[in-house]
Amino acid sequence: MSYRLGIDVGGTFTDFLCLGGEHPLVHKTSSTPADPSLGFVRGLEEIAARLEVPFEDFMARIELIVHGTTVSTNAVLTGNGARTGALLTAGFRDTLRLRDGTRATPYDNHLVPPPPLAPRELTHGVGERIGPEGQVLRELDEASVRAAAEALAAEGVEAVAISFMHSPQNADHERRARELVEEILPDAYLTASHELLEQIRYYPRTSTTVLNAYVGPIISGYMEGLTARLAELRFTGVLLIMQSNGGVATPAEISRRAALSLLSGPASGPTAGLHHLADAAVDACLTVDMGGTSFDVAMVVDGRPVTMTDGVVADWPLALPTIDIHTIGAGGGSIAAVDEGGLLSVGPRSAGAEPGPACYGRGGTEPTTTDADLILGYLSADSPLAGGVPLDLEAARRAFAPVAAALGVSIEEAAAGAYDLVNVNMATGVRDITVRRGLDPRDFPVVVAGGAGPLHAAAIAAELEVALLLVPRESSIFCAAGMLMCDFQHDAVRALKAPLAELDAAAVAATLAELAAAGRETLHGEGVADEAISFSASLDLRYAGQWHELEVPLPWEGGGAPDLASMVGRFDAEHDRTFGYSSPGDTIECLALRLSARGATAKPDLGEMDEMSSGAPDPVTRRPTWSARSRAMVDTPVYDGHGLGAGFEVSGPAIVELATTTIVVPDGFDLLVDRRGSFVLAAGERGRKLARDLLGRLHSVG
Amino acid sequence: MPAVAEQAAPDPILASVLQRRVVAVSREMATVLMRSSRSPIFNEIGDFVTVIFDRDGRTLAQTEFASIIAFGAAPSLQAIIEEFGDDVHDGDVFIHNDVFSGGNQFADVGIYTPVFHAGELVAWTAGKGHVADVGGMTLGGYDPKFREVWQEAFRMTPLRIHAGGEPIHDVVRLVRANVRLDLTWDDVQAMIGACTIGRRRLVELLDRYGVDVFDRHMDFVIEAAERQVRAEIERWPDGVYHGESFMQSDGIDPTRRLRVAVEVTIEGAQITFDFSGSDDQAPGFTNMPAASAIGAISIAFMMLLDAAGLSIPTNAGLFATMATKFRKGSLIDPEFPAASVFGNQMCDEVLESIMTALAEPLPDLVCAGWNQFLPASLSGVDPRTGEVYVDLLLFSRGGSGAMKGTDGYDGIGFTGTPGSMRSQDMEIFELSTPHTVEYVELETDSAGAGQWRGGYGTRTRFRFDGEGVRGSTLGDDSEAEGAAPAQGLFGGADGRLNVLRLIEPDGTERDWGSKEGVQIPQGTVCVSNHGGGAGYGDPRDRDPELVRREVREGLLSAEMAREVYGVTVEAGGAA
Repeated sequence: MSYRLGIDVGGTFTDFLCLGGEHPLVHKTSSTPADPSLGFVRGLEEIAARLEVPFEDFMARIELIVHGTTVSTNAVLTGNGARTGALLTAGFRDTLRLRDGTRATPYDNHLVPPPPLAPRELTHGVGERIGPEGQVLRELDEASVRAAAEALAAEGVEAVAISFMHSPQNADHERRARELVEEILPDAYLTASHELLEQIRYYPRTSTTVLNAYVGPIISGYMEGLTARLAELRFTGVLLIMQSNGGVATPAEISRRAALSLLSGPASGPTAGLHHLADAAVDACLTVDMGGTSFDVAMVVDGRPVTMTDGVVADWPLALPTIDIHTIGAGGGSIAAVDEGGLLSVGPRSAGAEPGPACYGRGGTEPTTTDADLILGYLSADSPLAGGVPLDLEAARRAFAPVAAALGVSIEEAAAGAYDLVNVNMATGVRDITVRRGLDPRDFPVVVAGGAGPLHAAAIAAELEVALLLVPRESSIFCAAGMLMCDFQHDAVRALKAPLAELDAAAVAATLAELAAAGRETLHGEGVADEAISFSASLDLRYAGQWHELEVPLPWEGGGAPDLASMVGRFDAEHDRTFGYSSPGDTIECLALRLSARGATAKPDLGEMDEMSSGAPDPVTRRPTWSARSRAMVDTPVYDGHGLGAGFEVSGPAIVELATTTIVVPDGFDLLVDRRGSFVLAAGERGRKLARDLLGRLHSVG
Repeated sequence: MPAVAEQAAPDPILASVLQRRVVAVSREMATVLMRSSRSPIFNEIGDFVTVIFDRDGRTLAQTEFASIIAFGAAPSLQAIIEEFGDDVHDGDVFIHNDVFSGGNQFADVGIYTPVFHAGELVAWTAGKGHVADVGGMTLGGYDPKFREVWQEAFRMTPLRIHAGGEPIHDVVRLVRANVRLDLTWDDVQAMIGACTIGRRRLVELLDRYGVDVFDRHMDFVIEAAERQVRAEIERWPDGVYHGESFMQSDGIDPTRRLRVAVEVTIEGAQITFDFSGSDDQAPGFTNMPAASAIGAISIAFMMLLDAAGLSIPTNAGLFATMATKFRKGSLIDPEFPAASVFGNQMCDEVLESIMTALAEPLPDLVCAGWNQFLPASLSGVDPRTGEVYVDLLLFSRGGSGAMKGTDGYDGIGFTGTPGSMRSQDMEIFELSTPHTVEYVELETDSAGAGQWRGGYGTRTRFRFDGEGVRGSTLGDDSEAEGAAPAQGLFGGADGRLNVLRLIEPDGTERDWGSKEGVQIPQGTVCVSNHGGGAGYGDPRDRDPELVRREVREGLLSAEMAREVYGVTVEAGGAA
């Protein structure tokens, strides 16, 4: 018997999914932010104990750990990254400080600009200049590179970013500068922008390069420490790290391209969502993940998580392909308030984890979303959300009393208002991510995750007119589960600026072959066999004169000439879908060529999450819950989710309680259980029909 | 006070929810417009707004990138409503840019579409943005030679371009025949697309709630904003306050200094901005249309409210107790047919005059003077493609003014788009238009000193590689013209002025005036230094650690640290 584990280290909890026992085992333990490997190892010990296997045996029998980490994200958010210097083209030293000329809120004169991660005194302009067509306008002044490197060495920098103007067109200067810096600073973590992304736009590329340098020593150090600790514990399996592009990589790769570990935790969510629907031949979905402090939305289209190249980490652009995760600060801790004008708002202020919602009894007195959930009966005093802490209904009601008084309504109505508003905010977030792509959220099933997700999911779906939702039984450790489903993935980009019609197919084929060879080499280094490797190519295209590109898949089978001829039609169609119009016949411009190299991993079958009975057990209790339709508290049956087996059905209003979450089934929704024990929520006639189709397909597979 | 609210008993919770939804619709419109436009002015710089109005033209929600346009969108709609009255139908689209019927600037073209539900007019959706050309005698629409409105642009008074969902082809042809670039029409199409998306979303909301519920709750939302603002202004000391700010050069005479003056009256919850005391209108294009002035005043007002801790989504209620007064025939609100394309730029003077007027009663809320922006519009031929190009020089930027407790923002630029207008990316600037940039950096010692300093300005130098290049500046604060610098407050130093020079290939050097159209020979080098913003409070009271840090960063010289701030820093450390 061997084990495979997904381990997702979050800010509050470290989540585990362990496969290989009789049933998949879900485990949560408290995170240890000062040294995340402590919580990591403690969780492993706890799992061994739950499996009743001696710890040493357990460790020796683990064949795979896939790990998502917030180490690098936290370093950026708290300003505790490496001491980082930067070498930029002379004359452009303030590229980061000048940003793109904007600030976050136009009327707020109290706003302070974000301090660059490479401070100005450690940022040097070096003599060199490449022109927009790749021509050398000024030779590299090697003496100025050496002088800058000496100065940085004297300042004790741990990392250096090198980013020169137009290096995507000609990287010679960056390459040479890197060699020179390496001679003077052999131990520093070096990143040259062309190694990371050969993509036009100086500010976002420079920002990405500096981010990579800033977190490089941090993630490398963490990887070394963790690998050593696991080796001590006799771990001989494979350790893989979740990347922000939705793929996995070895510790060595992630140490080199450190910025790919930013946002690594939630990046497996869309893959996890897809996994639950793939058996039913559904290849598109939205995933929503609501925890204590944030709400994340992501999307899968055509069987692939949707990525973006205009992400932002703590004010700084991250131009590497990352899973497009839209985060809004709306969690269980978001605070409700009534303004002087008499309008209700929820967030952006949050009670966070400390002191947390008033009902946690840890000193919080302000009314939060979780307090509203409790007042409305969606949670009960002994609900599991607070990690075993009983929830104090009276404290929640006291917190909401001033809101109710200001609005001239009952406490329940005020709580229902906060519940509605937070759902509208989250629905707006979902709409944003779809609209940006020209997609309609109504066309997607929604897969729901996070401890607080299932409390709000149906109401959000109703807001968006989404008819079908799926709550996996392992909803609360969703991303840890997703990590076991992800493939190796390495993305490369090359600047390729030319009219589409003038692209030379042979030259494009040569570049693709070159990128593919590099991708293959990386994957081989990670132990991936040739037969598991696949490629997908794409072009960044726009109509001449436009400034935003669309990434359009380029048919290419891993060898030979790509099908450039079809790209005109593909681009027109994609443009029409995204923006509502196309201009057939207009000149199309290419800006970049992209290639993703994937190495397939073996996909475990999660099987049945735990013992499931069948049939339709009776509710374990009843309690009043708020009905949005009746605008009143109505008597509602409460079910123990663990006792509900495949084929179980119930119509709302109903509450289903699980060990780590609670599902609210409102009026107008039905809840059904699929063969894996996941819960399907269906809205109205349309939802019921979709749900039956889905379950039919799922069961025919099973 | 809101008797209406009590009569109709709207649900405050539903009002809160509907407000979010309407704001979300305006955001979706902006997303669609930003992504679908072809003009860099829209999608790279973000010089546009999307707005949702009620049937009477009151703002319900807006998503603004360019504030000066945003608050200037409502007067145009008033003109359309007055012009067409009941003759407005489902599927109509209106276009407008005329500054003598509510427009803020000719190049800021507005698209307005009515939203009908069950045959009844309920709302309007609008997109308004800066297009690349609107006809007139000069490509790009900026030229100090303008003396009258017809030279500036093709005037579009309220004009229907679609009826019943279909373009009115003869009208569209007339408009297109009078602008130079197809790009302009692509932008118009993108705005129509955004308005159509907004209309669809509003109809979905109306299907769900009905017109009556929508109306009553939108009223409540507007009244709620008004109540918040009233409560705040009532805390402001009653009185009559005066402020002024100066513009240098009217585009004809660079030595001429023009005065913008305001009298602000606070009485209870009412605040009135009276600009009647400003100088008489100028003979050239340095006049400010009323809609543009209302936009500028609104920006100053929003900054004061924000500093007071109010952050309310923008709607008509915010401005319910704000009044404006202009003297017809003055710099603000000139007589027909004056030229006025410079008007938006005078936001800098309007804002500074208001801030200096209110420094005494509201010392915690006002900011010191911002560096006055000196951008230029360019057109020429790119020798690499042989094609005509149009661009704006926006990456050289000054600093904002400091306020109590906070330094000014570095390299932020124009008050009319206070940190919402993007600069071009330098690689894209060189790739897409024929320029070679030598440097773009913060300028040492450029910030106005103070206990809180102004934002740092920038120094830039680049070469024009285009053929037949024509450039027109449209700014202020030119050192060569002897402009008055941004005003410091409470002992803070004034801001720095701007330097703009052209060095032709034969070595001839000359100053490029603040409002001057020039032919630029290929290979000419441009030096453009923008000054920092003004400071707030005595520099000697500044935290010495902050002074030392900026010396270390190379932003402040050791001499200035010693002489102005009284802080001695040992040499070294600055890279």
